[in-house]
Amino acid sequence: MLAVDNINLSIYHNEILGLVGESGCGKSTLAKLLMQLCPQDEGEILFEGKKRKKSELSTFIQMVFQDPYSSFNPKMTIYDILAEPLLLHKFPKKDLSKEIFHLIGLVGLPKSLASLTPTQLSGGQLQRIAIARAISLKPKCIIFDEAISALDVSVQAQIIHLLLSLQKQLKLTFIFIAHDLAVVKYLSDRIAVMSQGKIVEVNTAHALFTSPQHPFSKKLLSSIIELKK
Amino acid sequence: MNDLLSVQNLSLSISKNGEKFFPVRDVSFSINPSEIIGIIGESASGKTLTTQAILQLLTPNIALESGRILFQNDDILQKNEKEMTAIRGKEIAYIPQNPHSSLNPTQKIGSQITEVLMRHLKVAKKESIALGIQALEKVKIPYPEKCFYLYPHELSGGMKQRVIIAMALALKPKIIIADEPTTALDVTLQKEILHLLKMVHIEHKIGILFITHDMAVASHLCDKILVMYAGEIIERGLTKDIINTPKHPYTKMLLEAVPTLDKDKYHNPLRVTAGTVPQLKQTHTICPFIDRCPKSMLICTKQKPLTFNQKSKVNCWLYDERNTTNRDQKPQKKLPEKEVAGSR
Repeated sequence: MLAVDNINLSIYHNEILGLVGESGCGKSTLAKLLMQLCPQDEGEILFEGKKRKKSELSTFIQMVFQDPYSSFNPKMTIYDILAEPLLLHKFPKKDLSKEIFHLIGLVGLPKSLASLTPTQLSGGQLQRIAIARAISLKPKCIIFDEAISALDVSVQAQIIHLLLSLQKQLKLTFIFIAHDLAVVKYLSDRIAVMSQGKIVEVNTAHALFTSPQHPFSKKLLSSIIELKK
Repeated sequence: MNDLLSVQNLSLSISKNGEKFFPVRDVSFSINPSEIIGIIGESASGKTLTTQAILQLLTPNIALESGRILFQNDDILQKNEKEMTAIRGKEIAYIPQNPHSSLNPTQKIGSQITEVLMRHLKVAKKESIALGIQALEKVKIPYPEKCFYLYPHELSGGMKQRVIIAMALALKPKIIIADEPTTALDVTLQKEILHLLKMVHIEHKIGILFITHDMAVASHLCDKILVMYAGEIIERGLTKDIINTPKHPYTKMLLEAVPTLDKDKYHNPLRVTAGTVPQLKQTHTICPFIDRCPKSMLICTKQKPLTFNQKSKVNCWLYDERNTTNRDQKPQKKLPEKEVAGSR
């Protein structure tokens, strides 16, 4: 069976690309392919025109997952969690603590958090740490796989705000995977619609929501439950 | 007329590592067969615990502090486990959030339905099979005879949720408690399941207590909405009043934080309120929302808000008409300011 089937997609510098579709349509598989976390049968994935080895990939692309509680080792402190990728990439030890506190500040958390373990933080705080870890190696692109769907609405709004300001500040490219179409529309510049392993439509967020072309996009848009006034 | 189910001044406490938390505080509401009541709140607002108290499914570390739960004028908190088993499922049905973990994966759908029917309705096996297939028909499952002999893993999430609704309905309950029944489902299925619940409510005159965090979903389904925050009901009223003219600052914040299609990161950004739900250690002597409230006043730091009758019933000093002197004075403490998201 083909989980992801003959996909052609370009992602531009400094844009937010939304990826939507039903569960099982291949969104997460596509994300894992980009991260080289699962084997690929055919095709090429190029970053800035070149095929990249797995070892150099982590400075190009990073990922933030849905469930913040299972994204961290519960026994490590936040400091160690953030130090690990930096040390692996030979970050100078004398600047390490400065860099970690800078990252924690960047995602809007107090420095005192560094000595705590993941179980002592709330879901929203942990997701901020996941974002801090993702940006620590200064990647160009970050994939968010349903990264805000497990959060409460008020926390969700805070994280959306953080994402937009980080994207502007650090000139990042985001691939934003979600099932909540309103969130995707809000964040994205362009949106790709997936169905059964194929990308059926790619369009600007505005165009997709005003005049969807593919029948599946139409079906997806008609399933949105809007606040009934 | 007496209410079918009424929860009166329910308070619960959790003991954890020697500390006591109060996740549900003085909650009162009632449900009748003609209504769909929605409880809206973020995580840790106490909505799920309230439903577990109604069904007497609380874990042993959760204690009842005070209150009564009357079902057909009987206090169900006083009933023993045997009496409760006769009510749970039969009179008050429950639809859980995750259909994937609610069915036994090793048993066929049919035998799971007939087990329930035989137990509660005391019918013979043959009869229970006929009733079971009928129940599947009622929730519009295609080929119910075939589905009856399938295992749960052979069905999609939406179909599983239909099977669970069918099981709940087969016993002709008086009330259905639905705890986030669409949250674990695909967006394309949400509408179908909501439509099904509405149909069930109208056709069988079953009262529904609908727990959700999603304002949009609640606005479609519910007649009345209760907004919970940190274990308390802070605003209650008809759905149209809550949605169109929310009174409590928290309700307003909830409605503003939902990304809707008319919002846009450049021109019509989301409004963001800082902070999270407070710790539940002490009993609240003041409004639980005070740390995040953009409109807090001097009186908010001193006294717990009373309930004021606006279009909805709201627990907030802003609507106190007797006392205007406290209004203009702001508390000394600095309060989080609203930021505007996505101003880029």
